[in-house]
Amino acid sequence: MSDSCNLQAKISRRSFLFLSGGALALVAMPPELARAAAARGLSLVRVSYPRQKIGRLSALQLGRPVAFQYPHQHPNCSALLYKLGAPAGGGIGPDGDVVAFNNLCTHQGSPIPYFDAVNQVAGPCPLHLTTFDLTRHGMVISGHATDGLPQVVLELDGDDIYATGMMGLIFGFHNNEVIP
Amino acid sequence: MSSYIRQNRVPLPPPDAKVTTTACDYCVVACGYKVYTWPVGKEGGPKAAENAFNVDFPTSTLGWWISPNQHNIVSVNGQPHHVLVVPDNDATVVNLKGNYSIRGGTNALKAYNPDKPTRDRLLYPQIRVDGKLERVSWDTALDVMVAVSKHVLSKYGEMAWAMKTYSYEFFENTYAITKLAWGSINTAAFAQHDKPGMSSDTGGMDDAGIITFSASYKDYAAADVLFISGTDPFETKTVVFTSWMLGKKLIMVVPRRTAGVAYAEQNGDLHLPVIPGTDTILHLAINRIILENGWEDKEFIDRWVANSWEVDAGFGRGPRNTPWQWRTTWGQFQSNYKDYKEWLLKYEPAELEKAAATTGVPAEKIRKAAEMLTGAGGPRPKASFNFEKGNYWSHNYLNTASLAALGLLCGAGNRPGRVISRLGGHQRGWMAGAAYPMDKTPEKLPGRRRNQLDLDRWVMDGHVRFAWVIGNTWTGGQAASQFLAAALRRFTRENPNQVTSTNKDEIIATLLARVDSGGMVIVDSDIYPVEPINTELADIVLPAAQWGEHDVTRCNGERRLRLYSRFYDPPRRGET
Ligand code: SF4
Repeated sequence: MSDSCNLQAKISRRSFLFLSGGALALVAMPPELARAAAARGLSLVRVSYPRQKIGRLSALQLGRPVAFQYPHQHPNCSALLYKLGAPAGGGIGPDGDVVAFNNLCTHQGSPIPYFDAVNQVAGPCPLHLTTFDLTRHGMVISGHATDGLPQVVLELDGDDIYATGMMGLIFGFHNNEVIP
Repeated sequence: MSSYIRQNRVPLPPPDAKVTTTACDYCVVACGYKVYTWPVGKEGGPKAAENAFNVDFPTSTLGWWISPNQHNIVSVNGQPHHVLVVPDNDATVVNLKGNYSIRGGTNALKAYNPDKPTRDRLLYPQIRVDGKLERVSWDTALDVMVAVSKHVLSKYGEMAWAMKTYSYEFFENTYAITKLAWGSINTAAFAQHDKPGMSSDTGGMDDAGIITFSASYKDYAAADVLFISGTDPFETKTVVFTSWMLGKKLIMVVPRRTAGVAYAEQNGDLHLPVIPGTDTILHLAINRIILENGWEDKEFIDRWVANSWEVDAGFGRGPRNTPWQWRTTWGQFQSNYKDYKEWLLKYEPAELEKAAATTGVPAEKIRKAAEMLTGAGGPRPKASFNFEKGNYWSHNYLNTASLAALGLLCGAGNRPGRVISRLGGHQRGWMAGAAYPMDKTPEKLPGRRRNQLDLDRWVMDGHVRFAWVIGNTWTGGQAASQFLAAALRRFTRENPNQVTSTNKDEIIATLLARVDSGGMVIVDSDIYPVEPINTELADIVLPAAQWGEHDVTRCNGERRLRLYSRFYDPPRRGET
């Protein structure tokens, strides 16, 4: 784990994501990094997510999610920015509790209208009751979906919050990078 | 340990991808799926004309999609192929419009892939040599099994040859298994995966004449109230709950506040948090309230519940499950509506306050259940009654008999929307190829009737010299014990006759000496290593093909026949 973190630190977090398997194209990168990555069974793929300002830390309120579109202007790409009040995987800010997730249930694509601020849970989805844990990268707690809510990768620049990438495939997409 | 890496894409099948149909391999619902396979190196595109789904990507919200966990790489005729196992969104039965659960939605991940956790699959026959499993040919493994079986049968008889098998892993297999064990070998030393003997799971239901899988899923949609006992179907047969039961009035009888219970409570429905093992008293208390208030469905009872004349004459009981023996227990078990009512109104443990104390369910909730099920004198709702292991795996006679009585009092029993039925756990794949040799079992009930053998006891008492275990844990089965595991260990691993050579004749000689010294030889067929039955105890371990690797059939929880097509190669196909 720490190896891949070190490796990750040497390249821009924004332009590369680590993926498993050999099905994806290896892209131009310093040869020593490519060798190190290959030795660990990792391959790197260039992804072209926009860097997009989505809000200000000082404006966020506990338990009051803010809607935004990311990474595309497509109805499936509606996302919510949360201040959870509890440390979360991938969280930013002084308390590590600011996270963002795509808001379509990964089961059958319903927008999720409910947020349980006490337990930091998205859902239950009104269609078939799936719930997602926002402190744990959006993983399924209970219900039908076979993957967690896609998490929006965030960066903090002063008070400004930027979306810089996605972890997990957005409902309806076969590839997050293909601009519809 | 492998970490979970989120995928940001999923390969699309090209228009010429092969499409096969199957059903989910997991729970009793058996949702319909489609399987797309195509050679690695090709991919379809996001325009409808460019992919086998004939769908534009991204697909729209509130619709259909493929998740990355529905994809895998498998071998088809020896060549690497992509596979997508996708819920069938054209489904008009079972999983309407392609509904699926988190289990079935990940069916693709169970396909064998040497680069994924499924690499643990058993790949070839093995024999335990010097305590370690060593690869041998099919011929060697089968020759040893035949030699030991012949010896055991001729010297110790059929009852020393035992089988412990799954009951559900497809009709084709269970037919052949029972044809071998009950027909050819003719042994009663036989048990299914979940219990030590071939006895009934739901004796009280059977005697009441209720076929335990009587419902169709449409019945749940047609019902107004569902009494669900001993299971949370949202957690364990998810699609039957979310495709067929949402919006119904629910009475959930389970000890824990599970997710489905929480949903029911949020909708103002009823949770009866029964103390495990007290279901009979709960049912009797509800029945008593119904009878005290005259809320029973008199018309239905008059027409369909056997009167005393019919009971005496042996009519009015179940068409299939009811054992013939009930007719020979004159006056002991049978009752009619009038007797039952008289008895119950005098039966003190069923008094509301007493029953509340026994069951841990507050009195007002018990009363509410009686009202919801009958309409409390107002318009009668259509009530259906569903139950599973939490109900019938303890006190399975009284719990199911009292539940059958509750259902009948409410007018349920094979009427649309008014059914009494198990919901099921696994799918139904039992097809006997011969009759259980009842004449062989030494166990008897009081009187002259024989009882099916308790295989675990038979083994622990040292009567078994050869056992073939198929696709189950045995030592972890219902009513199994550490004592059983210790006995299996004593008869196998702790016997002085242990194989030390891969030479077939030497293996046979050693195992015959084992058998003759009072020991036992275990063969285990499975798809994975299973502690301890094949990792520690079995002398011979055989690999099996699973779902997707051969064409097979079985039924779901509404008796609907499902076809499971082969779509990829079993591991090590053709190798010996
Ligand atoms: S509900 Fe049962 S049959 Fe349907 S997808 Fe889930 S596990 Fe499979």
